[in-house]
Parts: sequence; C-alpha cells; structure tokens
Amino acid sequence: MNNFLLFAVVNLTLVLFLSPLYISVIKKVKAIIQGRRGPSIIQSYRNIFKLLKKESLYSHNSSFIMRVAPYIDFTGSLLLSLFVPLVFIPNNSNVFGNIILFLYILMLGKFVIALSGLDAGSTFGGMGSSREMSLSAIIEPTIIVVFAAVVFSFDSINFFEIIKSSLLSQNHIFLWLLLIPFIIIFITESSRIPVDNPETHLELTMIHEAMILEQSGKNLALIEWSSAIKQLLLIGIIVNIFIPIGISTSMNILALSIAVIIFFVKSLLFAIGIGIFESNIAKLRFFRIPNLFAISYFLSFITILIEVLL
Amino acid sequence: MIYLIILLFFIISIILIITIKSKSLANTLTVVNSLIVIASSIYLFIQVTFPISFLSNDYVLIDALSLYEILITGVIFFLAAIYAKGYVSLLIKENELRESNIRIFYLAYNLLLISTIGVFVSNNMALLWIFAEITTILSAVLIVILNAKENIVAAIKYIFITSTAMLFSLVGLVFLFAASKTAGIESTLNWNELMQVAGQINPQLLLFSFVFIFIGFAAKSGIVPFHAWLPPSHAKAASDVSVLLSSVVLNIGIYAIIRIYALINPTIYGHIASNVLLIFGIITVGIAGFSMLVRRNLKKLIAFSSIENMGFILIGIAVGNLFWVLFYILAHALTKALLFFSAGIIHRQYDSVKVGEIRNVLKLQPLASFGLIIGSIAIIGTPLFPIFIPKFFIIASLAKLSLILTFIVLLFILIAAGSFVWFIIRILTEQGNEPKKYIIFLSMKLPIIILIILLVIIGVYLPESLFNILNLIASQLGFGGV
Amino acid sequence: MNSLLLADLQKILIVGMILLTVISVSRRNLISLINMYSFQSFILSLVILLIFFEDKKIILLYIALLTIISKCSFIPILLKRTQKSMKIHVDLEYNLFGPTTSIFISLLIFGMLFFLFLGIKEQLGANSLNYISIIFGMSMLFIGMLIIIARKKIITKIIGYLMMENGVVLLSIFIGDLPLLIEILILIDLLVLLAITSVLGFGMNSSVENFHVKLNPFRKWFKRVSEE
Repeated sequence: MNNFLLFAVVNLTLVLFLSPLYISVIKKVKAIIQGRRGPSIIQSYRNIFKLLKKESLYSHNSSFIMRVAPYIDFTGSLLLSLFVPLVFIPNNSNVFGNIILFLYILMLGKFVIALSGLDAGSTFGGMGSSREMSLSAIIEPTIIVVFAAVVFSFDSINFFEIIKSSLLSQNHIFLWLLLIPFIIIFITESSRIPVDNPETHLELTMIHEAMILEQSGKNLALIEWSSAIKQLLLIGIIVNIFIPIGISTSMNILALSIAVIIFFVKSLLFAIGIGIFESNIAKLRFFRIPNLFAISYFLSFITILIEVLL
Repeated sequence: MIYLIILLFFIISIILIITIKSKSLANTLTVVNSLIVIASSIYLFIQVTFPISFLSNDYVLIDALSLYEILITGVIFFLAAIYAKGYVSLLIKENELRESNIRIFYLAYNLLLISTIGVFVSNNMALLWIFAEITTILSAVLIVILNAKENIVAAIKYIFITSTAMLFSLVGLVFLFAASKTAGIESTLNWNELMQVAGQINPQLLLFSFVFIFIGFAAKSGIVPFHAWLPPSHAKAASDVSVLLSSVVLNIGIYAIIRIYALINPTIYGHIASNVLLIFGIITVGIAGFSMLVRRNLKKLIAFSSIENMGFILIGIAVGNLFWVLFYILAHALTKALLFFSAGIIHRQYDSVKVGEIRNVLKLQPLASFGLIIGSIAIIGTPLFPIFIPKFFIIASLAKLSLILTFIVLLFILIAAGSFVWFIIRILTEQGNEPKKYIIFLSMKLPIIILIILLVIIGVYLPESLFNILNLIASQLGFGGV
Repeated sequence: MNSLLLADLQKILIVGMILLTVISVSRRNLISLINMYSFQSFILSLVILLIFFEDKKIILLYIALLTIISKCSFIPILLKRTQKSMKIHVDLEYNLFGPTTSIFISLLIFGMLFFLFLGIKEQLGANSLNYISIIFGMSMLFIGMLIIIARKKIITKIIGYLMMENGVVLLSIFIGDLPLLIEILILIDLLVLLAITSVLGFGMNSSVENFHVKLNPFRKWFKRVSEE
C-alpha cells in the first residue's frame, strides 16, 4: 500500500514541477532553429506564478461553469497523473485505473474547457470550442484503434501492466509502426503545429487558445498548468511504451533517482525532437486536418488488423 | 529454318521503312509482309503436324488455333495495306496526316503485325501478356498519328483503361503461376503444360486467377463495363486503323479468354466460369445494342457493333460451342473490315460521318454505299452471309441451356439490327445539295470488292478443309467438335 | 531471431508502401506525388534487398538495382520534366469523392480484401508475411485504381497506374519465384510510360475532360474558304 503512496507522491511531484519545463524547452528549440535566443527555460514557471498571483475576472454573462471549469480540468489532470507510471511501477497496481478511464478523464477536461469557452458569450470562444470539439471528434477513432492495438499486443488494459510487459519482453518491433499515430495523437491533444499553433496571437487561427481567451488570473494559470501536465503525461506514455528502459520496479532510492534521470533524458530528447519537427512544417489549413487524421486512422487500422488477426 | 528467313525479311523491311523515305516503297513492303504471313500460314496448315515448336523451353508454340488466328490477321492486314496505299495519300492531301509521319505509320503498322503474331504464337502466358501490351502501345500510336487533338484523348483513354485492366490480369497470371505448383509439377505459365494438368490444379485458386485474367483481356476486347475506350478510339482513328483495331486487336483478348477458359473448363468450377462469361456477354450485347439506337456517327455505330459482336462471342464460348465461335471470329473480322473500308471512303467524301451530313451517297459513291449496305446486312446476320450460320448455332446451343436468356439475347440482337437498318435508311434517303464528287483511288476500292466476293463465298459454302481445321481446334482445346 | 527481425522489418516497410499510396489519394501537389512515388519504389527495392539477404538468389539483387535505377530516378525525372512543360502544379478537382472520403474508401477496400482472403489463406502459403504481401499488393492495386478514377489531372492518373504496378510487383515477389516475369514487367512499364509521355508531348496541357477542342468546324470553314 505504501508502494502506491510513494508512487503517487513521486508522480505528482514530477508532474507538477517538471511539466512547465517542457513547454519552455520546445519554445527554446524552435527559437534557436529560427535564429533567435528565445525565452529562458524557466520562463513558463515565471508565467504560471505570475498568473497565480493575479485575480480572475469574470464577465457578466458567465455562469458557474467559468468559475468551476479550471478546477475540474486541473483536478482531472492531477488524477490522470496517477494512471501513468513515469519513473516507477508500484507492486499491486493492476487494479487502479485503465486506458479507457484515462481517455474519458482527458476528454472530460477538454469538454469543460470547451463549455467555458462558450460560456462568456464571445464569438471567438464559441469558434474555438466548436473547432476543438470537431477536431477531437475526428481524432477519436484513431485514439481508440491505437490504444486498442496496444491493449491487444500487451494483453492488458492497465498502463502499469503494459509498461511492465514492455519492459520484460523486447519483440514488439511491429508496434513501432504505431509511433506515427501516437505522435499525431500527441500533437492533437497538446494543440501543437501542424494542428494548432500554440503561439499564435491571431484569433482567427486559434483553436485551443481561442477557448481560453476569456480566462484570467488563477484560472488561466490552472488551465495552462493542466495542459502542460497532460502534455507531459502523453510524452511519458509514448517514451515509456516504446523505450521502457530505466523504469524501476523497486523502491530503493538509487533505482528511483536513476529512473528519474533516465526519464528526464528520454523525455527531453522527445521534446527536442518535437521542437525540431514543429519548426520544419507549417500549420495545416483547417479543412485539411481531417485528411491527416484519416491517414493516421488508416495506419492504425492496418496495424491492428495485422498485429491482432494474424 | 524457314522461320528465320521470314523473320529476317521482316527485320529488313522495317529497317528499309525507317531509312528510305519513299511512300510507295513502304506500302509495297507492308503488302509483301502481310502476303508472307498469309502464305506461310497456309503452307503450315498443309503441313498439319501440330504443334510446331521453336525454342527449347516451349515459350513459343504454334498451335492450330494460333495458326488460324494468324491467317485471319494476315488477310486483314493485307487488305488494309492495299487500302492504305490510296488512303494515306488522301489523308496527306487533306492535311490530316503530316508527310513526316508516314514512316511512323508504316513502322507501327508492321510492328503491330509482328506483335499480333507474337501474341498468337506465345505459349507462355506471361509472354502473351507482354505482346498484348505492346499491341496496345502500337495501336495507340496508330490512333494518334492523325493531326487532331481529339485523337490524343481517345488514345490516352485507350492506353489507360487497357493497361490498368492488364495489371489485373497480371495479378491473375501470378496467381496462376502459384496455382500450377499445387498440381504437382514445377511452376509454369506455359499453356500446353497447364492444359495437361488442368484437372489437378486447385480449383479455387484457378477460378480466382481466371476471374482476374478475364478482367484484363475483356477490357482489351471491349466487354462492358470496360468498353469506354472503344467507341472514341475506333471512331476517331483513321478508317484504315479502325479496321485493324476492330478486326484483329479485339481478337487478341478473345484468344486469351479462350485459352484460359480451356484451362478451367474441365474442372469442377467450370460452370461458374461459364456463368461469368455468359453474364458479361449478355450485358455487353444488351448495352451495345441499346447504345446503337441513338448513334448519329457511322463509325461509332460500327464500333458499338464490334462491342456487341464481342459480347456474342463470349456467349458462344460460355455455352461451349467453340467450333462456331471460331467461324464467327473469321466472319466478324471480314464483315467489320468491309464496313470500315466503306466508312472510310464516305468519310473522305463528306469529311464527316454523321447522319445529317451524308447526302446523295448512292449517286456520289456507289461502291462505298453498296459496301455499306452489304456490310450492314451481313453484320446483322442475314442468311447468305457468313455471320448467319454461327449465330444460329450459338443461339441454338444457348436455347438448350435456358430459354429465357435466349429470348433476351434475341431481343438485344434485334435492337442492334434495327439500329443498323434505321441508320442505313436515314443515310441513303438523305437528299440535299451535293458536294463535289471525290475521286477515290482504285487501291481503296479493291479491298471492298474482294471482301464482298469473299463474304458471299464463305457465306454460302464452307470448305471442307476449314471444317476440319475448326474441328481440330475445338477438340484440341477440350470442347466437342461438330 | 534474425529472420523474425527481418520479417518484422519487411512488414513495416510494406505498411509504409501502402501508406504512401493512401497519402497520394489525398495529396494535391503534383511534385510531392512524384516524390512519394519514387520514395515508394525505393522502399520496394529495400524490401527486395531484404529478401535477397535471406534467400541469396542473385536475381533478386538485379531486380532491386533495376528498380532503383528505373523507378526511383528515371521515371520521376521524366514525369517532372513532363509536368514542367505542362505548367500545372496542383490537382485541385476531384471527380467523385473528396480527399477524406477517398481515404475512408481505401480503408474499406483494404478491410474487405483482408476478410475476403482470410478464407483461402492456407492455400496461398501459410506464412503470414506472404499473406500480408498479397493483401497489401492487392489493396495497392485497388487503391491505385481509385486514384485513377477519382482524380482529374493526367499526371495523377499516371502516378496511380504506377502505384498499381508497384502493388503487383510486391505481390509477385512474395508469392513465388518468377524472376524473368518481373524484369520484363519493369521493362514494359517503362515502355508504356514512355509511350504515354510522348503522347502527352504532342501538346495536351490540361485535364482529360477539358479537352474538347473541336477541330472539325475549323477544317470545314477552311475548306469552304479555300474553295471559294
């Protein structure tokens, strides 16, 4: 039991304190490629702390949703961080949480944010919400098929068991085909280029940012932090399923610290890779995004047919 | 030994055509080439020792069926070469064919002759496929040789639809290759070896490869639904080329379908294959018949009639009456050639082949209009002309199978016949201001006269030698003789 | 272990090939289509090389080299030159289905073929790699046909035909050893392509439908004018 407590403490600490770093790392990599110096690595922390100190303003037309949504989102993200092992797999974990619950809570956070975007009654909020919801509806078949392929290959519906069996056996080379749909899912969930530009200031091109235009102060800090947490969790899932070396299953301090360092290195490499990838392609026009999702669905469909039925 | 001499002569003639720029020399060489083909095939028929093999690995084999088809090919090419003598000069005068393209024309003509013979003599099905693709390219070159841009569209449609379907038949050939391994012999695509073990090949795989191969060669023969290329290319090409396409190139597809059907016929799935052929044949006859009703362009009408006849040949193969199917192929080739030659003369006279624009044709071009009348009567299936007898017997065999289908097919044939009659009547009775009479060379009139005489002769009297040859072919392929 | 790794690698490469086909269904930029085709041929030659490492038949090496020379460099260069002379850069119109619908239709085609062939799996060679190559080769055949039907510009149609051809080659290298057949197939492929591009060089410069230049009235007018 205290195995799981230790896991919860470690995960929550990592997730809370490490997640804004990745946003800054990706921004810095993009800036360096563009020839600038870019904001410093701890700029995201400064942003969040600055926002936490300010007061939240609510429009006259908003209802309770706008006051409650950031908290639901943030709590959901924190809860999600308990489903995914980042550095440490506790012992009796195969009864806690599974992939389907993970997806549902992810969707719940997105749903309440989309509602809050509609809540203030501004045009851009509604536009952002509708775009975000339609995109997430189209990516949904891919997510389901990709995770179904993972479930069938590793024979378990629990992230802990999946990563544990990936740690033990090494002959799932064919699953590397799923890397491409995984990356597309990651890009969609964390609203990156080519689906959505997180650094744009033009409202007509925003998808995720438009929903949170009306948020301010503590609420905005919580929403930004929770999207950073979700991003880190998705990075964690991807690097841990495909390259599971370094995850410790025992509780001793040496193994844990080595695991933390290795995870740090893996995820930083992934983040740098994402930064380089983002710098090389442009944002897709909105009506071309379903093409991308259809192609990723095709790929995941083929993979699951071949992997499962043959 | 004699084959080497023939081959050498072909090569020398091709080199001469490329290098020497004389029109008449090219034409003479072409005529001589086709005469050589006719002469050698008749000589080989008299030899009667079949099959004749060339190479040691049995890729090339002359069968009775191959020789028969080569004879038909030679005759049609010979007549078209005579026709081309005057026709090409008329085209140049009208500026529809550039003087510099004549060499390409004759070159493609001779190469088409060689590759068609290549199709018919190849025993290896893959070699057959390759030669069929080569004929596609060469006939497309012949279509494009005119100066009009519409021909490019027709040729591109032709190449695309045919080549795409031939890829399907290539897949079928690959499956056939794998299937031949299940009969216990080494994998092969040689037809004679496959024919020997046809009963022991896994029937499911064989049916499967049959369907795919059928798709490819059916597109080459203009079977519905792969027929979309046929009316534009046969209508827009020069009439000389249309003769070649309709009478010879369509035979290539039918030849391959006969070969592959002979493989699957003795197996337990043979009736499924024959049902497939029957359905496609009936649909083809139907759609072609209905399309002929609304035609205003003479050459498109004749092209659709080709489609209808090919469908009817499929029906004939499906009911197993191969003897009369082979005779039908000969009759159709001759009749279609007559029709297109006459249409060519009419096209030269009026500069178009549409209904409203052909006026006073009996007075201006009596020979061409007679050719047209006799050709139409013949193609419908009137007695006294050769198409009547095979049609009669094939429909009789169909009636043994199913009466309803017979009535449907008869209805479709009636519609096609009616559209021909209506068209000819409209053309012949059109009055109006006459254009100037066009002087047609004798070389263009000669094939028409020869064909009319030939048709009447074959329609009335079936030579004993021809009877024996057709019986031999039908029994060699595993169908009963007559 | 080694052969299992090789088989997995081949599977991944084959999946890559069909993915490129499906992407081509929805791409609009003509040059990127040609690049995708040459990349696909390159992957095909890699697959052939991997089989050669396992089987050690020298003819496979020759086929792989021939594929690289003809399909990865010669044909794309020819196509790019044709495209440059035709002055068209994108293929914007779709005949029947939009891009996303085409991708879903290709998914449907693949699924149908997969389940249709599950029945005769044993007779085609029980190796799962053989079965995968058959399914993928045949679906590349059908998806290439979809490209030919659903797009309007001629270069896209040619790319569709070439991808169909890649599918047939994929099918035939796995199902049996037909060396001579494949080489000759490649040669014929080159011939057909050369024929088509030379026909195009006669002066066609837009999509197949927009091409009803009726020369007939011009000719008759010219004749009437010259006779008067």
